[in-house]
Amino acid sequence: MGIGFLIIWHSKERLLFSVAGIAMAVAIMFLEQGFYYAVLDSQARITPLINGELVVVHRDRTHLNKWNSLERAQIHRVAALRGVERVIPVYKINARLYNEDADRQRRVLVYAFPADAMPLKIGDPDEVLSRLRLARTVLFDRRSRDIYGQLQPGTDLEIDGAMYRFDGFVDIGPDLVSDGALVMSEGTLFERHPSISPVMAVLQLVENADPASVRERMMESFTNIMVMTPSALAAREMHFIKHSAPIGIIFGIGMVAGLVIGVVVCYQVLFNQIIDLLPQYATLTAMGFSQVFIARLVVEQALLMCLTGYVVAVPVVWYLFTLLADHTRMVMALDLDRGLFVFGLTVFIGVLAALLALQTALRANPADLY
Amino acid sequence: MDSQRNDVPGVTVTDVDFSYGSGRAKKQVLFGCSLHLSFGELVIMTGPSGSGKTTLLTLIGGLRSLQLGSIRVGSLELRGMPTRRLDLFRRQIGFIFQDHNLFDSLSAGQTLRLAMRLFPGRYTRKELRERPLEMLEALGMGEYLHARPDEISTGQKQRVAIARALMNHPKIILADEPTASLDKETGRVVIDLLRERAIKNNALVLIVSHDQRLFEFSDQVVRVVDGRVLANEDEMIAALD
Amino acid sequence: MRLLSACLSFSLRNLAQHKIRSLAATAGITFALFLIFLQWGLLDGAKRQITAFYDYFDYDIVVLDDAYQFMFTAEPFDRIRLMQAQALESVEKTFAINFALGIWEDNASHLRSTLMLFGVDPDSGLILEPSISEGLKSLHGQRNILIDALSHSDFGSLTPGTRALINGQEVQISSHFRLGLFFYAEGAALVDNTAFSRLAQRSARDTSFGMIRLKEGADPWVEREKLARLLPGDVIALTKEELLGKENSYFVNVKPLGIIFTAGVSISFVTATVILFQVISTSIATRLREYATLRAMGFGFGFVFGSAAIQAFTLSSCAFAGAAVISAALFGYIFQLTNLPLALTRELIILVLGMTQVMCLAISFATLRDLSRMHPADLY
Repeated sequence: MGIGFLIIWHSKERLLFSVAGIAMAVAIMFLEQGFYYAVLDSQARITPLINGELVVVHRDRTHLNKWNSLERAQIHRVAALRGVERVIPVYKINARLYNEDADRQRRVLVYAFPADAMPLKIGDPDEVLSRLRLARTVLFDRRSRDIYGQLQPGTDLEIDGAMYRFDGFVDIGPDLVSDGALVMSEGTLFERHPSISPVMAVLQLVENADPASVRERMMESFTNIMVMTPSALAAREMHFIKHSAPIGIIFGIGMVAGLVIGVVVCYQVLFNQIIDLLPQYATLTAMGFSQVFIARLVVEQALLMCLTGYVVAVPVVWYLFTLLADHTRMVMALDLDRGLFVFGLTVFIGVLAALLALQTALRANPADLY
Repeated sequence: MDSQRNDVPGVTVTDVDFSYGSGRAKKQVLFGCSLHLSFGELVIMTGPSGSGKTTLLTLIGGLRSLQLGSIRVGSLELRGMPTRRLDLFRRQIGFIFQDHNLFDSLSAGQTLRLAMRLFPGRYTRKELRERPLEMLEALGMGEYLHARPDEISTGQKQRVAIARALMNHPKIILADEPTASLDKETGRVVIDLLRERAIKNNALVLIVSHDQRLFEFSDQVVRVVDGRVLANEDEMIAALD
Repeated sequence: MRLLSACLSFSLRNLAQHKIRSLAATAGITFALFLIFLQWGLLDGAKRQITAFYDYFDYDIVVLDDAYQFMFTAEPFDRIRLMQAQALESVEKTFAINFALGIWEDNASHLRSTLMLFGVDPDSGLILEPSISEGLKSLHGQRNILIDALSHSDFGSLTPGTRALINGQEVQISSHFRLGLFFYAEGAALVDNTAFSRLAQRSARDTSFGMIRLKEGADPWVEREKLARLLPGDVIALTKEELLGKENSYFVNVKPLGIIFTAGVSISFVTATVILFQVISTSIATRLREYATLRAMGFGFGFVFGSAAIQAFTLSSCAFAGAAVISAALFGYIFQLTNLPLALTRELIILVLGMTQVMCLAISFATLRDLSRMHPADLY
């Protein structure tokens, strides 16, 4: 084939326009998809950080923004089960952080855990734990949103009215609701909140232990908990967000709009071009080329334009994602699956536009050439 | 009609009627046309504008479906032929239009190669490479293998169009006013080319034209007036000498 | 004048002649404009939702803690500040509202959810929202609350009479109001300030928002200045406008959804520009031969330019109308599903319409510039 390429290559201006228009449509689809997944990924953000094979949460805690908590005593009982090497409770509360530099009080999430094991992969274990072991020391999530002002390790921070030493950073990342996070040791937290219960517990299993069977045993022994693998937890989080917040609708409509724009632009270019070349298309029919041949010609042109638009859009989208991720501190990721999905939509755009424009090309009556 | 001619293979048109439109807007343009054209002949079809000669041409070329009457090309009857078969039939016809209708985006060579695609499998890869150049050289356009329509003159464009029409050794060549936009010299060249390449290969060349200068080069002149074919003129011309 | 009408009729007839082409061009612009309306609507709707609660009351100035960023993190200050504010001549009435985050527990499912708890003073005419003012009247007994009917389903049954727990204490639903702020918490409840201090375990002297209504004719901006000087530095005074602006800007600049929606608007504007450019210039380019013929016939550049401009205007206006219609249809649907009040504000309409027409002019001019240089004889 190649005729299709030659045809569209010949009118460079038109090609430029069409590629630009389609690239925009593709970019829109990517962005809407990106926003959608940003919300989902950020909701489950903590799960890839979990440093264990299983996680225990209260059964009623249907999603990670809920506050149902486990009983402290339960933690010890869970630890006694066969296959479990270590149980690390994780506490979570909201606090108010006052930073002199910003002269503001800001709401912040506080994570706490015993300073002898890392339930979350938030930094170098030795460094993090050694720092946390010091009394009244906190670490700050450097991926928090920019509203907390400049924080200098070694200075003091005021949290809920009490002073703490700020000793360094960790890497977590905020979600849709909270803007930032701090980490302190269990002991430090107990000073202000002696009767607080953990919101979840991370289980590290002994070598060769089978997570599935440990999980079963645990669920049988304790009725008010849920035990799952981190990836199962992530899936549950995403499922929850998908069904509670109407983000699917919001971004879905945007995506459809992008799709329609792509179809209309592609169709428009094809149509105009076919009209301009109508005698030539009629000539092809006169010469005896089949309808299939002409159809393939049109589809080829459409796909070439669309694929070029896609290729142009990808680096632009990549750049935009980086910008947005930086700005919002949400996870804006472009992976192969999502890229392929939009690619599929792009092909669909081309084929649909081609089918619509085909009518005109086929209707070119060779008898009218005379 | 000369009864002698009917036995020579060619195109036989018998009692063809044709109308455009339907119902109250129906307009009949051809009335009982009959004629015979032999392969290896150069025939001019002429007549006043609107006489129906172009319609007759499109019917012979399989660009329109017959309504009444019969047209036999060789042993093929066009009447009642389904559209798909007509498509295939037309591959054996070389069309030359007044407006050449070349693709602006294709060079001469690419245009000719496209024409060869009508018969997939007929040509070897070597032929696909070499035949376009051969054809162009034969028409005196050898250096223009890579030239696009916007780089050559009207006469040269017409030559490329002729080359395209000739590429697959068609049995019939249908041309509509091929010399209208050409000067006398170039027009002459065009006719010579057609004679050389087509007539010599026993193809029928049917030209619709007002150009009186062409009459002397033709084997037959068919006059169409008000949708009717008049007795052919060559005897009339011969009688004039 | 005759020339103008000739130009007009030629242009329009020319468009109508190529119906499908014109339709395709219009469709392209329609969806590009629709995208703008959609993204803008989302951003605007979200902004309005954010400040929805603040619109339920009639006030001119609000007194807040000096570290105020947005509603969710509002720190309480001492109620005495409101009384001090009344020293100002122009103050007609004051009204205290409290806010705290709480935990709602559904009795049936024992699911715990995040809750926004509001406490209000007895109604002295500053409550605009009837469901709240009416509902307050029926708050007999200490345990009754108004619940946000749009609270998340995890809240369980919301029918009046249902019992539940707020921060571990028993409450009973007596009536509904509507808020639907799903950005910050899963639901909301409203009580009078006495009940609030008990439920939120806060001092009765606490106030999160001090609403002030001024007497007729007073200028909020002027009075705000006076108040700022009058009150000590641990509180600030803002006009209602300032408050809403502050709230919105926090959402737009800090909260990820705000940033996303804003990005969406920018992107849709860029896209629409590209699409508009593409469609209009293609539309003109395909008519270049006709325009050149006109020039050959003797019509001046003004006629040709006018014709192109008229066609561009027509296409884009039809597209605008189409986009408006689609938006009107879809916005209601989206509102039902998400409770985001999307609307086509007047400023948006004027902005988009103006931008579109200016671009049409510019594009027509740019595309035709080549034509003016082209000699009609080159056609042949």
